[in-house]
Amino acid sequence: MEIFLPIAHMDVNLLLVLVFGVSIGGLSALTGVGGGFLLTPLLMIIGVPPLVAVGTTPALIAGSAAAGSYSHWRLGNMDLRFGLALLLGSWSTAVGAIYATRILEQGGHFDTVVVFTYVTILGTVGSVTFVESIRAVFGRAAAAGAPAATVSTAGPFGWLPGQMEFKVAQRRMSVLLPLLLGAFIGVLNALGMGGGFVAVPAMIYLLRVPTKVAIGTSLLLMLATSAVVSTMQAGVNHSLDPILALTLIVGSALGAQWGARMSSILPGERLRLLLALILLAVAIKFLFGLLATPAELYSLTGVAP
Amino acid sequence: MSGLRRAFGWSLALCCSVWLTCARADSGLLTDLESSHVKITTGFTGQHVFVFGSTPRSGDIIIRVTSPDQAVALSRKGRVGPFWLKRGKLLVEHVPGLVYLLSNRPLNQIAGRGVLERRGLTIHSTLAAAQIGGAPAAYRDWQAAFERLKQKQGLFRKLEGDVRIDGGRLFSANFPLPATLPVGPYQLDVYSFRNGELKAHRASILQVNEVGIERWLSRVALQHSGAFGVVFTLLALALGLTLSMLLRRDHGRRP
Repeated sequence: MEIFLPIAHMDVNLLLVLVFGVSIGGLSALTGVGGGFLLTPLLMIIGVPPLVAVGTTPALIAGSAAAGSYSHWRLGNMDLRFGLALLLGSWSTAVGAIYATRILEQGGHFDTVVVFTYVTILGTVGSVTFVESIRAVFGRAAAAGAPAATVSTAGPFGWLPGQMEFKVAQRRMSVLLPLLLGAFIGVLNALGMGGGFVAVPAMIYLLRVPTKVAIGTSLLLMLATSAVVSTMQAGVNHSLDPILALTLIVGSALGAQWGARMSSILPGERLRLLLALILLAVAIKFLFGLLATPAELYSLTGVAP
Repeated sequence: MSGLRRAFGWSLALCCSVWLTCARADSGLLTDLESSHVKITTGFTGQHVFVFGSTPRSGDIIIRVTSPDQAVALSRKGRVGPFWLKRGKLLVEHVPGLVYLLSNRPLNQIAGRGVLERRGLTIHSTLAAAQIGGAPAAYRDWQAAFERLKQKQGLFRKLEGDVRIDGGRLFSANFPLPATLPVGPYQLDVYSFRNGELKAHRASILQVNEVGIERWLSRVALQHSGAFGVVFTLLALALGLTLSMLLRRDHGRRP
């Protein structure tokens, strides 16, 4: 069953897009990270222009993060002060990145930037997660799992100015740390990668925030960052396709329920290993595209009217 | 298929009657379209357009379909260290988004190259006004690449043999337009040739437009983009939240 996308200006198979949504929703319920990093490349593979793929993904992330953050907020897993610091960082860079997207697209460098970012970020996070989950599956290396309790509360960044108390996160640290992490996530989000897959491990392993609070606060960060990015992608770049986004949101809501039930059956380390393999596969696919000699040197793309 | 055949039979009958009544008044070429509108709806996957007509005497028919101009960006990959990257992007302007040439037999058998080119009846000659921004160094390579890619996308096509001629004077053609077609008024030109010479020409208009929700959505998203962004994002948030609550209730709350 085909459906015509008014902004991408092409027809796609409705079922295929629903399946993408279900997989992304399932994956995020199974592994705890959203699937923006996977969705944007999948959309590009089926022929959605990169600009539209990048512009539509944030709407899906916002929709699915809204569902997740509500339940985590009720469970008290959200550090609002920490979240606000992250958001101030992410909003400022996301807004900048969206305008940069426009300039890069006009100069013809947007695809290059997207591909390089994907290879670097997915490759790095994929490798780290891979090593960590292999250790967890095969070894007894407990150190890789839960954050060590012996580390002093200030951590290695104790010398930074602007030390603050984050009650729910049970940490005292410089406000610069969440600001910087947020700033990095903002750029990723504006490039259609969500950023939860970086934010959650960074909060757990680098900033030593308890896992539950890290997940809850990351969801808040995804929700509020993606909402702003989605609004601006539609407003500034005209790149949000409403029919594509709605189909994906419905699919992802269905997939999330299925994934939530599966996650109680599958062990966590193996899920992380699966996630690592997916991340690495996407990174290798993009790397191959950069290195292989192209069959056609030229390419045509539409120009916004 | 039976619908097509019916349309064909119906149009032949119509052609005959039109031709018989008009023959005395106007000895020229007669053409018509089964429908002068291509409507882009939610389920649009492209559409067949049926053209038919009659000529006063037997000969050859060439039909050219041209969409409004559509600027596109053409980029070329180059090697940077070990990587293949897009290097430079040029704007191609003053060029139709779609050009179809249909004929009853190969174009070069219908008329000489000079005649065809003068009338814009080769793909290359319809692009005479095209401008590739910045006039790159190897201009011809860029130009050839542009034509090649457009043909690959099915937007520039030569359909030789797709015009059917019955009884020497009645002709018809049924050609497919792709879903990715540009919108706007299309120019449809029918040329009648005899012994390599142009005998008659008729032009008609084919409208290609989005209709219904597609039209509404693309208009709102492009003309009121700011408001659309805010409203749609709120809708996405509400939909995500509502669906997760509804579906969760169905399966019972997990502990």
